Amino acid sequence: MKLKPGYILFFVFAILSLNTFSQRIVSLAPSLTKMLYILEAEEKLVGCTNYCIEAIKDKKSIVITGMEINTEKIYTLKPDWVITTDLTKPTDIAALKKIGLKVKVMPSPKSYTQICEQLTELARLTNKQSKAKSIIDQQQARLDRLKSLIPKDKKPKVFYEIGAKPLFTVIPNTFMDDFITYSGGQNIAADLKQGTITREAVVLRNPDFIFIVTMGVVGDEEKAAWLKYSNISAVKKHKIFIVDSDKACSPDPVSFVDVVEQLIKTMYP
Amino acid sequence: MAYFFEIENLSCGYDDKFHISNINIGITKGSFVGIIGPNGCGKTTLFKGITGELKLKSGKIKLNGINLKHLSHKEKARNIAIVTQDIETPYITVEDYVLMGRIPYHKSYQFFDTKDDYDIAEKYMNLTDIAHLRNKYLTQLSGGERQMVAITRALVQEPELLLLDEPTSHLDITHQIQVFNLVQQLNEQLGLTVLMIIHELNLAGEYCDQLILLNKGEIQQKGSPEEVLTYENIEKVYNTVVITKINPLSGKPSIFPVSQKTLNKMKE
Amino acid sequence: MSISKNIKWGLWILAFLLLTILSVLISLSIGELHISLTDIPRILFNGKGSMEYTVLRDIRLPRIYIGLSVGGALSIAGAILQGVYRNPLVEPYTMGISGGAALSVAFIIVTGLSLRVGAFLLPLAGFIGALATIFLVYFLSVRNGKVLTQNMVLVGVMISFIASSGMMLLMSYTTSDNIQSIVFWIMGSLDEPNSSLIALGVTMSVAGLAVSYLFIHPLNALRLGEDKARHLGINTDVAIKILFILASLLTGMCVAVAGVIGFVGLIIPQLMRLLTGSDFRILLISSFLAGGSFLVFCDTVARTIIAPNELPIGVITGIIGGLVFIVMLSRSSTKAKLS
Repeated sequence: MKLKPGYILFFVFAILSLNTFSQRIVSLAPSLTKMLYILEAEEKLVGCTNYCIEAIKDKKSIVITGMEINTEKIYTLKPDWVITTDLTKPTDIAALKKIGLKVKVMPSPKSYTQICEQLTELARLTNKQSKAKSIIDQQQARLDRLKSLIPKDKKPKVFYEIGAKPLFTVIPNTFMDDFITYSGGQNIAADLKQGTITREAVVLRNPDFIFIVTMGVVGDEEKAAWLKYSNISAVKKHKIFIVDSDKACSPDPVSFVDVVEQLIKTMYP
Repeated sequence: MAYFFEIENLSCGYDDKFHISNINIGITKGSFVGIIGPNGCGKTTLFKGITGELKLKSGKIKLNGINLKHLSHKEKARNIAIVTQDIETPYITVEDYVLMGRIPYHKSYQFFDTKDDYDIAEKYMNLTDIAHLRNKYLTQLSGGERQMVAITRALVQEPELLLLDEPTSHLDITHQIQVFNLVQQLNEQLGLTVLMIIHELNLAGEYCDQLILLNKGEIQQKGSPEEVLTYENIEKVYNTVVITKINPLSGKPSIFPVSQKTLNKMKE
Repeated sequence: MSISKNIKWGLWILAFLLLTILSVLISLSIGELHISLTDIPRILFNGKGSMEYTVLRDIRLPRIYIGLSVGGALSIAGAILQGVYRNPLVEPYTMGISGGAALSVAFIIVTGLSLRVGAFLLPLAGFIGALATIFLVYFLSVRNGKVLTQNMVLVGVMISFIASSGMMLLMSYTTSDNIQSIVFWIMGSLDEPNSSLIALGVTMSVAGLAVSYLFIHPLNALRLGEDKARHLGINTDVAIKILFILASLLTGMCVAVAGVIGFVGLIIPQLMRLLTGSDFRILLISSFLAGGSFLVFCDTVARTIIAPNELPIGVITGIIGGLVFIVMLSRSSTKAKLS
């Protein structure tokens, strides 16, 4: 039988569409689930975590509770890709690979650039490359605009608190550090290799701005606590602010720029 | 007649069914009473019932007509002092241990021992001749010395009644006699009423004014040593052949054991 | 004889007071910002508004208050428990009290309740958890109205194990952020910005010391054993119950304010026994002062050794305390003294 071009075309088309339409993705991290939604690729999502509220509303199966992975359930969902972050235990990743699943590990992004790279990578897996590019371009444009709002001569010292009891701050080489950099600030913890900082160290470094990223009531309580140290520049000038943690902890381009926007508008009114 | 120390219809026991019952004892002030009986007859059970370690199933214990239940812990300790077979030896000096006997007299906010306390302790340490051991730790003493220390502590409580539970069962005869002599001295010179569980029948006969013979949880016989230490009583309760004689020096009864060999010879 | 004992005790108390003052001074002056001792009075009285003032008054001084009260409270709780149970291995945390407290706090963190209601929930949970353990241990150890001390130790240890398992269960089903919070909370920290909580801690600690002195006679009498103590006129049932509750309340307070700081309640009373003897009249105050100094000292290390990062204080007390104890124990002359 001669291979008619028609058949070849149909064959190629079938493979391509299989690629496009039957991509099944299991996400083991809420941040990655969110990125899928941003890419509008949620129909490819078949499994998510117990913290992925939106996905659960869309009736996606829960395959991981806390740090406990239900390997069997993942297997029965027959995903093409299992995407996760570096918070998953290597033994769990190895176990998934052993049963024949393809696992893509996206380590916690260390910068905004990496956030964009991860979005692109995810887009490649779900065939949403054009969507990803448009998002990245859009946000970059926003960033450029926001950058122009930063006064040239100022470089305020910023303390970015992401945890209380123990007191936890943002260190370099994390995407959250980029919040400070992109908004023209200077992280007072720039020399730290680990995030637990003493209150004394914060007082001594005298930040001009204190941003507290915590959920719920604790944020306000921390703010009240800092107000007692009346000698800090940020306290004297009433520059203690609370940042929404949902956006601040989510490594996706849109949230990132939202946060930078909030920071810039707060720091240079 | 009102006794100084009276036990009325006492019964008490353990969950696993061993009980003593129908215990009626009247002790006059100043007497030296011994409780004797074979192993498992209930001597220690009775002792624990008197000291409060075991709850009474029924009966009353009265001191000077007052039910012990109505006395506070401290009041009890000021009137009754208890000496048991001392097994534990905490790391404490003789002097500090003896001084603890003054605790029943301390108010709760009184932190320091008064001069009186020290004087009383000194007096009794001299009486029992252990003053030279005052700075030694209990762990450094021999069994006999420890027993003397325990008795001294009891004396420091300045009680009216002294309760002792087989204080000499693990001592050699020198120390046994030493302890018994001391107790008798205390009984006669200080007027201390003594109620003592005694293992050794001959010592019981020699030293006590009154004896109470227990058998299988009940009183077999109570009375003077002559009345109690008869060969019929002993044979019935101890299930062994003995001969009783009078000690030529003291006039008190003594028990002589008879070996199987001698019995066999007699039968021939 | 009596005078020399009083003099000896007086000297010990003086020595430990000096030690406390020394550790406080060291803690005030050492840190990322070195403040020389001679400057301290000037800064505290005249320096309002300066950086040094904030550091001294708002950061180091509160930690010192907490350190002295928590260190003191844990030490006397340990001394009391060791005396009541006549077991040298007993300390507030082997009795399951810290296990119950830690489990409650882990629960609050994992369910995120503190985020909705307020951060005060954490110390409250710690305290309630400690109290709940007290009641559990108590009720499981009482038979016929009598408290069986042997049972209490066993029940306490069992509760410790169950609480650990419970915590591991909670930790396996929650986010890594929560796990980190739980772990750091468990390892203890003297960083507590809530000044009312600090005030409460100091008050309870000192009150605890005072109340324990009201039970000096039962404590000393119990050195001879429960029966002997009763023979000396002590109402041992009541005394043991109250002492246990006192030790538990003190421990609950410490857990609420500073998390779980182990070892202090174990080694300080033991060390004091070796130095001052086992008479509770000197043991309690010495343990209180020495425990406070020790914790303040450990805190100074915890916040400077990897500055500007902070080590959990439980790590320091464990290492230093453990080493010191091993050294003391290896000298055989001390073995007898500890029984």
